[in-house]
Amino acid sequence: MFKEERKAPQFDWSHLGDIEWGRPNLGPQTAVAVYRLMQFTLRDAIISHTDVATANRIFYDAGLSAGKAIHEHLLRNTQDFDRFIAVLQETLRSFAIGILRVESSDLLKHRFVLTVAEDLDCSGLPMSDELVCTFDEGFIAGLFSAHFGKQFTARETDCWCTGDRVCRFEVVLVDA
Amino acid sequence: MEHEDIERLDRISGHLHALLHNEQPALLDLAGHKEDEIRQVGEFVNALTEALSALSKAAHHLSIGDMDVRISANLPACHHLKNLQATLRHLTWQTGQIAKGDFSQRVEFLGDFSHSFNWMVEQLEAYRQRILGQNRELERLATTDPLTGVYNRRYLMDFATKEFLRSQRYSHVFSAIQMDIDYFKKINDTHGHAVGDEVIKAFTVTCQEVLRESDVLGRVGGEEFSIILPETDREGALIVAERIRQVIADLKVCAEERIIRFTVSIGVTHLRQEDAGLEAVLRRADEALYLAKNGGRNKVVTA
Ligand SMILES: [Zn+2]
Repeated sequence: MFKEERKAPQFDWSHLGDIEWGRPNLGPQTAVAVYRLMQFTLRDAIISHTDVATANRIFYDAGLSAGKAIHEHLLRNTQDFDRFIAVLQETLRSFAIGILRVESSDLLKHRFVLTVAEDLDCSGLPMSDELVCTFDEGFIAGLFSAHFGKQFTARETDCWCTGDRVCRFEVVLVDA
Repeated sequence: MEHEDIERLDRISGHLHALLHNEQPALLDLAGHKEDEIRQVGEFVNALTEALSALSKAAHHLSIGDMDVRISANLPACHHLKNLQATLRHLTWQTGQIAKGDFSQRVEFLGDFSHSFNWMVEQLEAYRQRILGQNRELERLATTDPLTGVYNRRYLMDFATKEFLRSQRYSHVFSAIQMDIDYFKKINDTHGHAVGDEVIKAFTVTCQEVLRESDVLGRVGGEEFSIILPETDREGALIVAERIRQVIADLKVCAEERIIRFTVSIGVTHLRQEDAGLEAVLRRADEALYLAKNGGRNKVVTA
């Protein structure tokens, strides 16, 4: 399940286990620092074993799986785009992932600009002039791909780390 | 301090003075300056001048509603402007959503404006609900008979026309029933219109208890009623008609301290292949009703 070799992602929501049952005293919450500790030590280790491009690709692909899984688990019945966004906003807020807002949406051209404020990954990080939310890029691409049933990519254009207070993502359809 | 240094500091302080008094001073020319602390102060002052100029430009653009301005400076004040920019962009999108009818949008992070804006959206939604309710009420008034609440002739004919076309297209069957309360004029003349109205009401209530949800009952004249029975053949319609005849014959209506009993005559028909239009079906039902009347009333006749 977790340690089998594989060529394609096999992640399933059930791999997260029964948290309520497994953590009767500690509950489902943890600290943001712990999440970031995992994210940035993992990035550190991957880069030192491979290179930055590989690390980015891994984080993006992992985000993609996560986005698709969360869509499958919580957003499956939101066919209408407005409803999809409303439920997504609520979901990201209730998981304390971030405050999602839409800046533009073009349903004909399939182009969207979103921002995430108080982002779990990067809000409050030191300035570095780097767009660090690679996992979020994949995550958003996964959500949109699952919603529209077509392949989307997401690119971060502004980030807390580049001096913005929000992370801004451009989401576009991959040309067929 | 050397005379030259005092001059350099003078120029820097003149520059700062201009900056503080709302002028856009040219950057300090530091060429030829010695590499020392005063030069460093000059460089910081120049960087600050550029950042303030960018900040002022960005603030100006935002103030005139140009939300796509690139806010490049990295002063802490710029972060607030960027926040505001993101909020305004989102607000612009939200306004478009509301224009499209998505009244679930709510504004956050804009203080009193959020309250007013959200109140406006709530009011819009309330108005819409009210108008929808009024439309439904108008629709109901336009399609129902005020005395009994069953459908009126207009609605029944609309429904029958649709049912005719649908049944023809998909080779389905439907049936039509025409009914007329026997000696209704006599009930009115003997007991008065108020009692007559009670009889009409009791008749429709009793019919509806017999009918299925898909059957449509309409009052098409004073004491005349029609029923359209989708997906119902002649035998099915006959069972319904006979049941209505029976329960009406058994019915006792209490009105103005009197007990009224009455009967109904019924004509039944179903869609046939040769029927060119709805009129043919309804005419046949009318003819059957006529036969029921002439055959002694309190009867069901099929055609
Ligand atoms: Zn970011």
